[in-house]
Amino acid sequence: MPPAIRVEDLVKEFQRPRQQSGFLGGVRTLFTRQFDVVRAVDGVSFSIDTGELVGYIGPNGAGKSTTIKMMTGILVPTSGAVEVAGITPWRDRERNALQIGVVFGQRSQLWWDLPLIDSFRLVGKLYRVPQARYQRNIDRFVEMLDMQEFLERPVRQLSLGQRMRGDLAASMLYEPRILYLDEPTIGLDVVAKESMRTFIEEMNRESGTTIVLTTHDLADVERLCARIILIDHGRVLYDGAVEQLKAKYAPHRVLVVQLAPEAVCDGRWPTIDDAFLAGAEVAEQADGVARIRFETARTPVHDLIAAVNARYPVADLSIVEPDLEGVVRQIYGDLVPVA
Amino acid sequence: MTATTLPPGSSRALHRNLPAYAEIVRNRLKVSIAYRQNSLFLLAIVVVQIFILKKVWSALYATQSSVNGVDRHALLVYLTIANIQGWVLQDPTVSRYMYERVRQGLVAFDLVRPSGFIPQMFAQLMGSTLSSMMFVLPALPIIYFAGTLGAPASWSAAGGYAISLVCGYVITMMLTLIIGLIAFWTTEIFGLTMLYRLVSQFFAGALVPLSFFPGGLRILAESLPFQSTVYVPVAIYVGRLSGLEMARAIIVQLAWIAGLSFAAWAMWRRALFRVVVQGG
Repeated sequence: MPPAIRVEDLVKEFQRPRQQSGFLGGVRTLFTRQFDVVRAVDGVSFSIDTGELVGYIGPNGAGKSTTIKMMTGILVPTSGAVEVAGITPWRDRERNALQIGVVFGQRSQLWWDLPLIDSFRLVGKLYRVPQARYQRNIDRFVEMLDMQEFLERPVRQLSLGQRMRGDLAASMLYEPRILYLDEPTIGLDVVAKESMRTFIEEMNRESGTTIVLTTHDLADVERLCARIILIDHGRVLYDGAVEQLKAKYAPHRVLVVQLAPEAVCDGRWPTIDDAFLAGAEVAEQADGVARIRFETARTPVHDLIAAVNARYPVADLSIVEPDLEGVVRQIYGDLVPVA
Repeated sequence: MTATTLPPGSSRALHRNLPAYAEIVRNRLKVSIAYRQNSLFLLAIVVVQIFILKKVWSALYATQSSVNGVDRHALLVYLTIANIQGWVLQDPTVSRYMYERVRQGLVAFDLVRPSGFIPQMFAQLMGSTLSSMMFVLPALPIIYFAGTLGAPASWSAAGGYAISLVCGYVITMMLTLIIGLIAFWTTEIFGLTMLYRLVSQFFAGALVPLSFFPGGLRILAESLPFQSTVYVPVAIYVGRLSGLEMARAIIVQLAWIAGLSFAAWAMWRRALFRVVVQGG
């Protein structure tokens, strides 16, 4: 089966008028034709298979949204190729439009002044959804996203969480094969986020929708995506499984040891010596609690636990897994360009 | 699905998307009803303007029965109809809507619809025209007293008016579209729409009929498309343009339709390649 989305050497440059500084700088800016060329996307390539749910992440200004806009056909790239189910999106807008759904968390496709249901009806008509199928999807989505209560309310009166649920439902009403979600959970509370995530997960699992998810909330990615594409400064830094990224950038686990009260000797807690612990080091310890950093690849957990147990009375043990956020923070940190 | 692709403007594509356009028109009507105070307020301004024009021109006619070969009654009918027509056909809210879409980056959604951006905007325009008509019909008795209403000059004037009105409407839509498309370059067209309204109202002949313009100004007015939106149809209505003159004016209208359509099409082609979606 050909990939659902194929992106090759994609480049997008923007021209920005150069701001003139100083007295009357604003006026001079108006009349000068000097431009700065900004490369928002700089040679991005990847391919996504049908039915995948991929997290597309990167810091602000990394080029994520620009890539999404080229994949949806809104922007025309400076160079490179995009194929979505065999179609070049910006050349064949109509056919492309029929097979994709788009949610931009920062803006809404709903009709601001009209009840939510009117926007749904319009979307149904725009995508020529047969009446029976439209009704079936509406019923299903209203129940899944709990929208009954505000279906007849004008969109301008909805809360952000309600509006986003409406936007998400609107983008799936015509059962597109591919769904682009650009920061769909931005600014939402925990409950709304959970309801969005469940919906996205079900669309992917049950309808087989291919989903590209852009987000700053890495909990979204950890919960939903098996694969992530990490970009910064318009380039792909990592493309692969979430687990492998963690293994690569965060090979360390932390074993937290709580010593038993009987270890106290002369009113002081004993010090754990890392000399006994092959390949592990004590990151910090105080008041009988020690955090021992170790690499799973080099030090098996059970060996480490046995070594600690053999020398100290232990009350409690726990292992802290690295979270994606820490990993990404570390990668972004490494990438801060040296001025 | 084996949907064959058609350019969004082709007749089959139009047919397939018709329910969608009808829905846009319907939604636009609903919005107008939701904001009816605003529409009524704008209508009140037009009625006041018609009333003032009637008073001013009546004063001018106090000493003579005919100015420039136009009698008082025909002139007052002209001014009344020209202003109502200008109000109904030219709703500034649609070009404002377009530039708001571009300014806030919402145009992104219009571009990923299967029905094409331009036809969607035309549906918006038609919806707003329909809603304006809805407000104007019940207001006709008031307009009758504020201004002057009268029947078309003749049967041929009535027929010519109908044809010319449709042409004038298409020209108005094209001009609104072009103004809106400029937003893709400047991302801000508020000042431009203000200027456009002033210039178009004056050169369309809504305040003073074109035949009253002095030499140079008249040549300028006749070489601009605005006269085709209001002056031509209403001048036909009151019998000022008839016979060959009427035919010539309608041909000029058709030429404007062709020219402006081409300009809009060329602008749209370029706009597509320079879409900058603002924010995020």
